[in-house]
Amino acid sequence: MNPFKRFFQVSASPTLPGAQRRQGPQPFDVADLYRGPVTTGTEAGGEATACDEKLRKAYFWIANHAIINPFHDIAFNDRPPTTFAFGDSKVPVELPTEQSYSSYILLPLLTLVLRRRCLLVGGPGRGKTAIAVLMGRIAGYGLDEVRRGIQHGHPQMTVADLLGNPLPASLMKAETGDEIRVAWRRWLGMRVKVIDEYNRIPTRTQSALLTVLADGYAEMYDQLYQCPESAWYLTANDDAGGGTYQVIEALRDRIDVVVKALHFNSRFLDELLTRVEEGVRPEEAVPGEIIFTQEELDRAAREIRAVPMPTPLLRRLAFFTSQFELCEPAARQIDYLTKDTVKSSGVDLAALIEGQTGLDRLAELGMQTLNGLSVRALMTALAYCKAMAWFRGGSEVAYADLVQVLPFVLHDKLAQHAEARVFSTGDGAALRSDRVTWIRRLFDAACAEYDRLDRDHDDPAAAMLDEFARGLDGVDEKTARARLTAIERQLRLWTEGRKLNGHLFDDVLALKYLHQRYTNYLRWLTWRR
Amino acid sequence: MAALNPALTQVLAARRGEINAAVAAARHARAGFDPATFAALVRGPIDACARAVEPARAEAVAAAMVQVALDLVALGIDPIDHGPALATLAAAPRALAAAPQRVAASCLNAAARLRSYGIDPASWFVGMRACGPLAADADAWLAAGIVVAWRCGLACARAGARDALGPMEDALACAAIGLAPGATTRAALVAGFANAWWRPDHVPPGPRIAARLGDFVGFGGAFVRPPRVCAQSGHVLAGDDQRWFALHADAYGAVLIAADPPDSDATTVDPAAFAHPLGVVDATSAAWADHLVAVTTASSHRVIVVAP
Repeated sequence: MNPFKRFFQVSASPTLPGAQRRQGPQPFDVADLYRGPVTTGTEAGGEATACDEKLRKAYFWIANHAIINPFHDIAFNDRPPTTFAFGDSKVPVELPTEQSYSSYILLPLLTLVLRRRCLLVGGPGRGKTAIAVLMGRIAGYGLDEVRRGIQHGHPQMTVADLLGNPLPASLMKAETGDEIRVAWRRWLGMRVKVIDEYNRIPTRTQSALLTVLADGYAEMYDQLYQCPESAWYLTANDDAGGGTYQVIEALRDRIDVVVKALHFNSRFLDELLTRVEEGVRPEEAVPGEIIFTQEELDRAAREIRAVPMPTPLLRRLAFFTSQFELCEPAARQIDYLTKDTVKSSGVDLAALIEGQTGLDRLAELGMQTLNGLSVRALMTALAYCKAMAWFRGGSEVAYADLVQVLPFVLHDKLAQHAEARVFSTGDGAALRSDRVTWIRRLFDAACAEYDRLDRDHDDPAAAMLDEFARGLDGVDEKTARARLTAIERQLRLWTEGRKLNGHLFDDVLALKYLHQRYTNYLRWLTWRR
Repeated sequence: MAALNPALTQVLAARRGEINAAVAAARHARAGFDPATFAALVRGPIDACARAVEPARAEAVAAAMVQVALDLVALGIDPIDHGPALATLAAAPRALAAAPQRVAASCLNAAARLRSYGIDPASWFVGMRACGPLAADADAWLAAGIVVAWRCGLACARAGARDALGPMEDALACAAIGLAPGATTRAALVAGFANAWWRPDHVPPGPRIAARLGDFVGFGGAFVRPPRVCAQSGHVLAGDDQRWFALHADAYGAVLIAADPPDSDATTVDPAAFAHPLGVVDATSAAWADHLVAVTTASSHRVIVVAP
């Protein structure tokens, strides 16, 4: 027997009691009397475990046995938590009342089932590569396979090092470029891809990596290699430009979530001692019970996509999103009043933002960022929210799922305007480095404003968009004209507020769009008559 | 010191390196682990089991028992806790010889399971030792174990106990239910199951308080604050808004089994109706289902179970 059998111990089901659909009291099964921790040798081996339960088991195995990580920075509460304050700055410590998680373990796992791209950031020796290797093992690869597949970034790394080499024989015989056969590197075909220290890769090689990461194929000598859909894990010691090479913007933009490797808690030194003395390597002892087959990963991805996003929550996210793009001094045409307009023209955006007058510099969330949110960032946020809800056994995405996911998705997507007033008042200075808390506060503030405006019940633009979404079939001329009048009346009403802020900007553009659609429809109705 | 059974000695010699490594790993992982307790387990109950079975099966039994003891070490469970469980096995030589790993592990798991329901496994061991010589094989002994568990207070195993008694030999059935051989028949026992408050060993009294269970969580109980009860789907549920349990009770005892919170269609009855008969003045909730009534009070963390 393996003397380190405890490493094979996986948490018993259910890992999240109450996650399953409630069905009233469950009958007691007398067979349970003889079930327990000691193996009887007659346990059923083929019983399928639900994918979310299996992923939770994987989470708890990593948290309990593989990575010494006593953090629970993704906290969930079903009632107000007990809170303590420490230090001169009164840092709050909350004791979560619901099952909570470590972002460092959970987000890589969600990335695995979503097949997206996760950046692990942190100092040397914090287990960044270890967690990436574990993801490979949980995806069903052998340890040697995973190790062979890791691409270690270094300043001399060439495109050939990354992608492969032309076969010498075909190189000699070929008369045209497309006759050259390429020996592609094996990692390109793996469903878990690990790029260690990606910010040490030279810029030209980063561009080749971008094609693989963003578009899913590699190109060399007119040959294409189509890569399977994969989960990516990139590591970096310092994501603030401290690598050997500056990471190209497009590559950074393709990263879906950023997770920080937190420090080692000295109270767990005895666990390290055990590992030193016994030569324990968790990646060698991953239990079969938490290893996913390809079919299971596909099933998990399908289940996640099917988790519904409630409309009120989606509207809250839309309201939050609308806060960041508007830059009123950017143009004189409403469609161009964006930070993008300023950036693409080469004008100093920070100075322009600071030069705005008549705005509450602390309350205006848009003044804290130098950009808005891209479509890619929003799609990523929606995917991870669904994954979080699925992982927690929810029947739909909950507000708490959104709150906890957004900071990790938007970590590198929202560019901070470091000179904004909010970072020099109160505890704002800490938010320059603590981006997770900063984004959570942004979302909290947006939600507070959403509630103040009572947008769940008073959202004229949403009502008009809903009305339009029901279709134009059967809408007569009179009704169409009435809707046009209602849009104009609403726009006139909004002008009385004088101030143009982010959510109003999006609403105005949405009503302008609706007005155009109804106008075109009316013209068509008139022509048909 | 008495010599070990030769079969056990042979097993220990063959697996010496593996056993030493497991014990060494356990010492590193758990400060409280004492290798001497493991050695005592080998010399005591494991040796007794190897001696109890017919010589032809001694080596298989010894190997299985050592494996189970190593599993306990690997799982971080101090094997000395399970000495009484392993010692019980020697009383069932035919069952143990037939399926040593299954029988030994089942016995240990049952002890842990009963303890998790607040039932002292010592009484179960006594019952199992009485059944041991009468059980022809592992299935028979483990089936008797379900009846013994029910008799020890595992009320939720009532239906399982009735099913287990069905095909059981009369002598084994009597031993499982705690009666002298020939005191009754298996058929009579099965018939008695129609009344949840019937016991073959004495005539049940009239309406009475059958049990008080639950208790304050700080004293190892189930509830943070005085609970309330309601009925749903034929079960009485008891809970304090944080945790909910299904209440199972009959003539042999009462247990709480973790359950989901009740839905909106759960029902209650007027607690005032029970105030006078029970002599309580602060009844807060009452519910009835199937064969029992449960009442809670404002001043207690326990649920009062009334046998009608």
